[in-house]
Amino acid sequence: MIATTQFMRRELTPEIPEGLLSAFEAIPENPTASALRFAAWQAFANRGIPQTSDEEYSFTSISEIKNLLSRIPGNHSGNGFAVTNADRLEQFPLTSSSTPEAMVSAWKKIASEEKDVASALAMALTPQSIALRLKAGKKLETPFPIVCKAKGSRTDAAMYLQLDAGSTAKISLASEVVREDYLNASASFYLGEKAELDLAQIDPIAGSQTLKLHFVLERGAKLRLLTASTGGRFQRLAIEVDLMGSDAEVDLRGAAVVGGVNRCHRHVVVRHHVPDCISRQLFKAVVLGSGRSSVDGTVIVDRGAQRTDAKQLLRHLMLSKEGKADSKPRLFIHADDVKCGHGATVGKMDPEQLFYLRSRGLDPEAAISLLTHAFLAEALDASALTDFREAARLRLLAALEETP
Amino acid sequence: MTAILDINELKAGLNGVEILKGISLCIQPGEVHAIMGPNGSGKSTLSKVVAGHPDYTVASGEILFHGEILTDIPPDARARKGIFLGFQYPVEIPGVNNSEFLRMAYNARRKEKGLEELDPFDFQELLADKMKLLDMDARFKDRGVNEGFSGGEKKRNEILQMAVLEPSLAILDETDSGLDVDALKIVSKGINALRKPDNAVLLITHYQRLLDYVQPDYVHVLAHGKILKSGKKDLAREVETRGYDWVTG
Repeated sequence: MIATTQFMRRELTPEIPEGLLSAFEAIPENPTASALRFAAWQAFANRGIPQTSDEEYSFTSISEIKNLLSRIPGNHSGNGFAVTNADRLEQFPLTSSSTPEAMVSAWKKIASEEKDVASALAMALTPQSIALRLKAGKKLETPFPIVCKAKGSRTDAAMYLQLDAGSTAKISLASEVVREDYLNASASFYLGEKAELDLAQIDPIAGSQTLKLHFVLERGAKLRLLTASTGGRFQRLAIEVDLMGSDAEVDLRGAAVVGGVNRCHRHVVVRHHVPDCISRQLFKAVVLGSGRSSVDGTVIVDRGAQRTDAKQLLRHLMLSKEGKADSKPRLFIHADDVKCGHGATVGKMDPEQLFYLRSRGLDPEAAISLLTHAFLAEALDASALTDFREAARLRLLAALEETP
Repeated sequence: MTAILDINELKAGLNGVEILKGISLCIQPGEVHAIMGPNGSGKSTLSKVVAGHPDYTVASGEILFHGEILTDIPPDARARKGIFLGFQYPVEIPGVNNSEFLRMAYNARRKEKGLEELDPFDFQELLADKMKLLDMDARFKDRGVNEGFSGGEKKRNEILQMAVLEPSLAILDETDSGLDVDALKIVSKGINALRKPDNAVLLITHYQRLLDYVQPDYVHVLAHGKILKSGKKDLAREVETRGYDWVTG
């Protein structure tokens, strides 16, 4: 291992701070965990800290992401992900030799192919990554909460969850970060044949976060994701979905209210590798004050992924002149028998809808509030995690009222 | 007796173009007036100006509602005072629940009158009664406002709102367009049910057929932004027979 890190040290580019490699080296080695961490580090080093020329960061401040990723983790150690009440899921600390080999190698493959540098760093720098598994046919009906917490100025976090064939789960994922702190997290999900996952994720109320959610879906698997955010100093969510088995379905919905000077960025890539899969992306964000929101969504249909049905809609509602919003919907289609559609809108409130409500006696504040709720409802309402969804709705509505 | 609506020499327009070129109209309590006129005559503009649509500007003249000048009063305040506009093209508002929206509107009007807000359970009962009157399926109340409604359903929803809000003045802008005969009868029944000695209705229509079901006290023919002729209900039939050219020359 020492030879490997010495090699890495020689490979360091000026953009990769030496302190990061030192932090990486400081984590005690372990036969299972180190293989993953080395693969992730190599993936990170291949790309380095993001540069202005990196298209996937085109709507974000490069200096900000550089500063965050270059922050040196303290020796608070530990994984940002905390899984309590784990008796409902099998839990394997990656340092344990009992972790099934197949899970380790699947995760390692994800790490070695990771193109998102923040996610690669999260997997490389997390000392005690967690692998979780829900056994075949098991059902997790009551939502299973996973919390990801920043424990200092920088915390890295990494987890892997495998849903075996035919299992179903409802999971909520919430982050806790205080003002100046930074959380860099990576969570990978493997959905076996006909497995179903309802995941609801909410960004921290403050601070900075880069979070990567990666999903692999096998034949007939179904994923429904709700992501909610009110932004923070810098918050970026990257979602990557690989549809690997036919008849798999994915429904991604995002709702955000970004006010004050908050930042909220979404980067989504859905890849149809095989025929007969369905994907939906609906991201909505309300921008107030000097808030800044971006949604960069891509659908890739591989050659041979015939009869793909993919739709993507990215919508921003601007409630201020000072705010900024960017939407970038993209389709790359390499098959000829597909049904794909995409659209993006950035606009103000519809004046005719506003007049209609006012003509019934609703004052402007109530009418705007009702229309804003309605704008977000389409993204929020589909989630099966009703309690979490309602909590997210309340958070978003509170953010609407906080920004003048 | 103070008129419900008293319009004097009203000139108004949109984007700097004058559309209403001096309209005077007085509607007393208990009256139903009908305004007929060809396309582009200014009928819808009149309805929007009275309702307070922000895109329209009043150049001169005045609109009095129960003796109060409306010019500087915003549309929501006009609605709370009792003006209702039934839209020619009601907008769809997905995500805004029909009954919840109606309850907010209803309570805004009650608050204006100094009454306590009605709680959701009592309101549901009231809504159910009104929907029965208009032969509306209960599932409409749980849908988004006008979302996915057919043309006829949207018009029926407008009359439902009118029935719930019980306005002092209802301006119905081509409520009959897009309705088949059966729907027209139901909608007319709703309008007639609202008629009371202390309120008034202003019907805007192209055709006589609505007036077969809702008998107006007065009929006015609007063309080129002016009321060219006024009369009793027979005027509508005469227009139907002889065409607008008879009036506009």
